Order: sequence, then C-alpha cells, then structure tokens
Amino acid sequence: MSDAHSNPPSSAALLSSKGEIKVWLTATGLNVGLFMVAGLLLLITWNGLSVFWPQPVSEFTLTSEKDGAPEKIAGIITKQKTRRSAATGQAIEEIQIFTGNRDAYGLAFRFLDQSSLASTTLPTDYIVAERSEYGKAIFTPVRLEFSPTQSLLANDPTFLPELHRLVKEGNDRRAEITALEKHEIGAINARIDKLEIRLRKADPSPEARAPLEQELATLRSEYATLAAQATTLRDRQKIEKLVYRLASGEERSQAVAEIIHFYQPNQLTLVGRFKIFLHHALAFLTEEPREANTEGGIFPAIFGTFVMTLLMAALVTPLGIIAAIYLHEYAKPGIMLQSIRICVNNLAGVPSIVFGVFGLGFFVYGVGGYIDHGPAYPLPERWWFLASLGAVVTLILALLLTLKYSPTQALQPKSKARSFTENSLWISTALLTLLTLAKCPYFHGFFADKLPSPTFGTGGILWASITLSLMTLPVVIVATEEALSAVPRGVREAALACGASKWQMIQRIALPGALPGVMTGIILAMARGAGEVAPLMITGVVKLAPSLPLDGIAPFIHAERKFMHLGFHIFDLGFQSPDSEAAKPMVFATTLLLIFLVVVLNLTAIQIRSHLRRKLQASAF
Amino acid sequence: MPPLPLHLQSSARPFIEVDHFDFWYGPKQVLHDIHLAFPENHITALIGPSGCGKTTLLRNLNRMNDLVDGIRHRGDIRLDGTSLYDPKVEVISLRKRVGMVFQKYNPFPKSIYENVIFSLRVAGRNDRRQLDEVVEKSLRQAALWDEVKDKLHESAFGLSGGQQQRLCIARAIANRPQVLLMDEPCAALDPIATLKIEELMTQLKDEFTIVIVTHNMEQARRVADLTAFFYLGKLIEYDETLSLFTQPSQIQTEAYISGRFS
Repeated sequence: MSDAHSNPPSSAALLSSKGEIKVWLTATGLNVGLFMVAGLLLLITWNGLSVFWPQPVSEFTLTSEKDGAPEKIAGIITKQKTRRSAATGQAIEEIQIFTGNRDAYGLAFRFLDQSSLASTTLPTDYIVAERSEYGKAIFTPVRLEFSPTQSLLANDPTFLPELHRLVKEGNDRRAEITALEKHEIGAINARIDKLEIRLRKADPSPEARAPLEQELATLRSEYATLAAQATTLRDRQKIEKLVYRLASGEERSQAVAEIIHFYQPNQLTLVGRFKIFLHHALAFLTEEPREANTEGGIFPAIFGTFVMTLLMAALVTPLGIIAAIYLHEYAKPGIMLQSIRICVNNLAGVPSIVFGVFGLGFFVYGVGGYIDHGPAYPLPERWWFLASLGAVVTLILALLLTLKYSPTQALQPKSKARSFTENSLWISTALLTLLTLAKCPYFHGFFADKLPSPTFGTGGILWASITLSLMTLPVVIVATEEALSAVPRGVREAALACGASKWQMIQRIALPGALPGVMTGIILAMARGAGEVAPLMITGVVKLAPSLPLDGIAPFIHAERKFMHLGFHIFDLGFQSPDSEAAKPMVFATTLLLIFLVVVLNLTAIQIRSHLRRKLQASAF
Repeated sequence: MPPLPLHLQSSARPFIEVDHFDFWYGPKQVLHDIHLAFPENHITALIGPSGCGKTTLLRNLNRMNDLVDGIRHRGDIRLDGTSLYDPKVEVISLRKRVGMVFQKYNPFPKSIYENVIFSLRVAGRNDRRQLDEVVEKSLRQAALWDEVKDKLHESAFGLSGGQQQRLCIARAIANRPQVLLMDEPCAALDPIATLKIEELMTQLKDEFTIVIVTHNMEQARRVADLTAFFYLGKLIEYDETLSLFTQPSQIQTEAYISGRFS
C-alpha cells in the first residue's frame, strides 16, 4: 500500500473497486466453457480412437466347472467396475469382457465376477479375426482344410503364411463379387428396367415390340451369365475351411474366405499394434457397413453428409444473398420491412423438426409428387385455359405499366394508385403462372411409368438439402445484410459518382466488399446444417442406403436417392441397434468423425474467407 | 440568367448555371434562392461555415442528393445550357459528365488499375488497349503515374493517403467529364499531400470546370479563381478570389474571412 494515503483502504474494498472479482467471474465463465468443450472433445477422441487399438486377449479360468473341467473363457477386457450386490449389500468386483464369437455364444459380451475367476493368462496363440458375418471371432487355430482329405496343422511353420494367403485370396474374390453384383449387374438391371417401361408404353403391334423384346432377351441372358459367374465365385469362397478351438474347448469350422482380416494380439509389438490401428482406422473410413452397421466402415455416411452439406450450401448461398440484397438495398424502410426482418430472425428459432415436417409435406409429397405424376387435382381444361390467358394478359399489362415509367423521372415519386395497380398486376401474374403450372391438366409427370413406386415423391438427398437450406437461410440473410451495411458509404457514393447504376454499384462494389461477411454466414449455416439430424430423418436419410448419391451409372448425380448421414448413423447405432453394447465404440468413432468433418468444412470456408479478406485488405477507413 | 462576376463576363462562358435554386431536406430548407454561374475552365471555391449549404449545392450538381429520401427543390440548375432536371436527362449519363472527388479518399477494394477504369467498365468499355491508355493518361494527369506504374495491379489500399486521394482524382477524370466537383478534397491529408493536390488542380483546370468546397480559406485563396461565400443556406457574396478576400463587400464575409466565426 502506498504511504501517501494516511488511511489505506481495506483490501476487500480495493478488490471491489478494481473490479477484480468481476474479472474473475468472467474468467470463470470462460473456463467452465473451455473445460466443457475440452472434456467433451477429449472423451470423444479417446473413446473414438481406442476403438481401433488392438487390445490383448486374456484367457480366464473360472472356479465353476463345466463337463467335469474348470470352465474357460477368452476375451478382451472392456470395462471394470464395482457393483453392490442387491442380495447381500456387499461390493462385488466385476469385469466386462468382449468374447466375440457371437455365432457360438449368442452374445458378444459377458460380465464376470472377480471372485469367480481362478486364474487369468495371456496365451500367445490367440487370433482375433474379423469376419464378414457374426462379427469378430477369438480363437486358437487348429488346422486348415484345403479339401476333405488335405489339411495343414496349426503348429506347422507354413500355417500362418498360408492363412494370410487364403484370406487375401478370399478378399480379392469378395471384391470381384461386389464389382460383379453392384456395378455390372446393377447397370444391366437399370437397362432392363428402362426397357420394360418402354415395352409397357410401346404400342401392342408385334412389329414394334419385337426389337425391344429381343433386346430384353439379350440383356436377360447377359444377366444370367453374370449371375452364374457370381454364384461360381460364391461357391469357390466356401472350399477352404479353418478349424479353430474356442477357450471352452469347442471346435468349430469356418470358411477361410469369410475372414476379412486377422491378427495375433498377444504377439504384437508396439509397431505392429500401430499398424493394426491404422488398418482399422482406414477400413472404418473407406468400407461399407456390415452387420446392421455395427461392424465395417461408414464411408457411405461420410459421403452422404459431405454431399448433402455442399448441396445445401450451394442452394442457400444464392438464395440468401439475393434476399439480403433486396432487403438491404431496395426495400423501402417501414413497418413492412421491419416485420419481414423480425420474421426472418424468428425463422432461425423454429425447431428443426418443424422444417422437416414442412419439407416432407411440401417438397417430398407436393413438389416430388408433382414431378412424379403431375398435379393430383388438375383444373378442368376450360378453367385452365382461362388461367393461362389471365397470366399472359396480366404479365403484358404489368410490363407495359412498369416500362413506361423511366428512371429519369425518379424525382417525382409514383402515385399511390399507380404503384398499387402495378404491384397487384405483378402479384396476380405470379399467382396465375403458379396456378397454370401447378394445375396443368396436360402434364402427367416425368416418372409416371415407374409408378406406383415413387421417384422424387419420396425422401431423397435433394429434398433433404433443400429443407436444410430453408432452415439455414436466416443465418445467411442476416450475415449478408450485416456485411452489406459494413460497406462504407463513401465507396458506394464514389461508385455512383463514377456513373454506375445502383445495380452495378451493388454488383461490383458492395457485394465483393461484403463477401467475407457472407462467407461467415455460410460457415455458420454449414456448421448448423451438417450436424442436423431431426429434419433429415423424415426427408431422406436411411439406416442403410444401397447406393451413393453420386456414381458411375448415368445420369451420375442421383438427387432423388436416399442417403446415409453421420448424425443419423450415431442415433441409429446408439439407440436403434439390436446390440447397443457392441455398437458403442462405433458411436464414439462416428461422433469423432462427424466433428472432424464439420471442422474440416469450416476450416476450408475460413481459409476462403481469409483469402478474400487479404484480397480486399481492410483499408484505413 | 445567373450572372458571372463582373470581370469575367466578357472573357469566360458560364458552364454551370444555378438559377434561383431552393432545396429542402424534408421540411428543412437548406438552400435559399441560390443564383450564380460557374465559368468554364476555372476553379470556383465554395466557402462558408459548417452547415451553410455549400456541400449540399455541390452534391446537387451531379444529383448525388437523389439518394436521400424526402428531398425537394425549386428553381433550376443548367449544365452547358441543359437542365439537370430535364426528364430526358439520365442521372447515370449526367454523372459521367460530372466527376466527383470526396472529402475522405475512398478507393474501391480493387487494384489501382481497376480503380482508375471503373467508370469505363460500368459503361461497358472493355477494350484492353484503350483501357491501358486511359489508365496511363489519367494517372499522369493526377501526377501519380511515376509512383505507381510498377504496381498497377496491386491493391489500391497499399498507397498512402495522399496517393489514394490522387488515385480518386484519376478515377474521377478517367471518363473525361466536363466538370470536376471536389468536396473538401484535402481535409484528410497532410500539408505536403495537400500542396500536391492543389498543384494538380491548377493543371486540371485547363481541361475541366472545377468546383471545390473547402473549409480552408488559405486553400481557396491559393487555388481558386473565384470564390463564393455561403452563410445559413444563402449565397452572401460571389467574386474574384482576390477581391473577395481583400475587399469583401458584405459584413458577414469580412467577419468570416478574418476568422471572427467559423
């Protein structure tokens, strides 16, 4: 304390006068937020990444006996916890182990009481194998059977290399089968579908039908050849067998080709473990899901999320910018504009499921149904002609009235009656045109031949993206308006003084200057849209999509297809899957990936924005 | 017909005529019966205390005030004999004939090159050779060419304040307007940059009719051929610069130029 003051203030008074306590309070608020974010990220990252790490397999000998010998079980320890017994009230040490072998045990997990364990060992010869069916298997190998007579015992030195070779061959054949069934047979199926529709529409005379039918027959025979090839390959997959023994002593036999990948966890070095870790992570990113999504990768979901988000951004950006330009530059300030602004802002607070319901009702059933089968209730022809005539007449009148008004007379404002007539003419033109299009009795849809199965009249990636872009529209509008207000008045006036029209000024000066701000809006919109699940569930997301929204079959972009989405995948795995314990690691890994994807999209947009900023370089205003 | 000051009536042609011009922002009248003419190829300075209406008059000369809501005028302004308010006159083509330089330098967030040719671009002229010529000529006239000729395609924001203001002048004259309006062009500049701009103005008057609003009486004295003094929205005195400053005929003028109010 300074000596100059005869009566130094108390330290409490000093604290409060400096506002120190309030500073601490604000800092605490920030810290709580930071801890929550960091904790969440850490939890998800740790759990998400540990899924891929190969854990050792332990063999437990139980105190209980089965068939005259102590019961044995092998598995990976996943959890250790203390439970209070309901009967005695004593604490019980419990472990949860992942036993795999769902085909043998029925369940993949098991709880063991510590007190029931006689001993625990780490035998080196255990193999963990990922299979295309029934999940992982944990076993000790016994022998390979190449044919009923020829076999190779597990203690033979060539056993492991031989197993590796067979697994690789099996994988290659599986890829071949997938290529055959998905791509070649898929393409032929698409052509057969088209032909059948043409045949249905073709006139019944045999001359017209003959070439079509002949082509159909050729396609069918091609299909049969390919299908036969696939069957041969499938049968080939079943020849080599692996006989293995479970910890309980039971011997089982399994087609080698159904093993996708295997490793010996108790013999791995650190580098070896890391290699397996990378292999698992890569497979997770690039493979398609298996076993009700609880196994395999999530590539279709990554791809679906990515395409959906980009499509949404592509739709929301022009719409939001155009709306904001009108609101900010052209609309006359007043109660009307004020209330529109309030409505736009409130739109951002509408629950997303409401947007989903709207998307389902309007886009999927309304617009999609219209595209599929034309108007459900067309106007009678006479009325329709009247409506279209009315549209043309009002359009001509509105044009005449508007064009007669030249911009040089800008100083004399239009009379109220005249602008009212003009506006109502334009509005009736728009309404009548809409009526003419929506109720046309001559339009029977673009996909009427495929009915009753809907093409666009059901959820799909296009409708989901449009719904989300409506939902994120307020964000872009508000950001663009703010960015436009931030463009200095001086620069706008300078542009006008150079002889630019108002539109040229907006297009060449105001909008480029506002672009970084617009990018901020798009970033926020993408971040919100990519993580949204509820509206997607009813507008096009599915648990398992057979094909991607982009592929090699014409017309390459299939906007009507249903798709998979990471957010929905998380919900589906965690809460809808038959074995949620088995799916839990996947939930964490998928969450990690979704966060990562959002971060990557945001970083890209931020990069673009800072590039724009550097180009515009804040001036000395 | 609004008069030129006596000594010019034989030697110069009135290019802009402000004819009994009244002007209102909403209910507030800011110009009262302004009646004067600006001679061709001369520099005319408008001086007066803040809020006296000199900037409003200037911004009416290229109808920049059209942007404001609720404006009203009476009387007429004629440019080379044609009324600005003639229904046949388009604001855009008017502004191509009347260039403007603002108080605060305001280059566009573009390259130096694109800044200069902006008025040509919006007029739809895109011939590369022509544009190159215009850029060089305008920048030379604005005495900026030698300083920026090696960085024409860099951002205009990299220039100093004085250079940016000269760039704005180059931009304003690129389209060869007949009139150049300058609204306190040196208010945001240091003395050296101010001097440069003033030199520039005296060179430019051979080609353009210049009207400048200034708060700086020394500046009016240095560059202007004629000076008009405004007070409370009225034109008080309009004369050759030298005589206005040495023998003001009105008492308010004398009080203002001798610094008794500002």
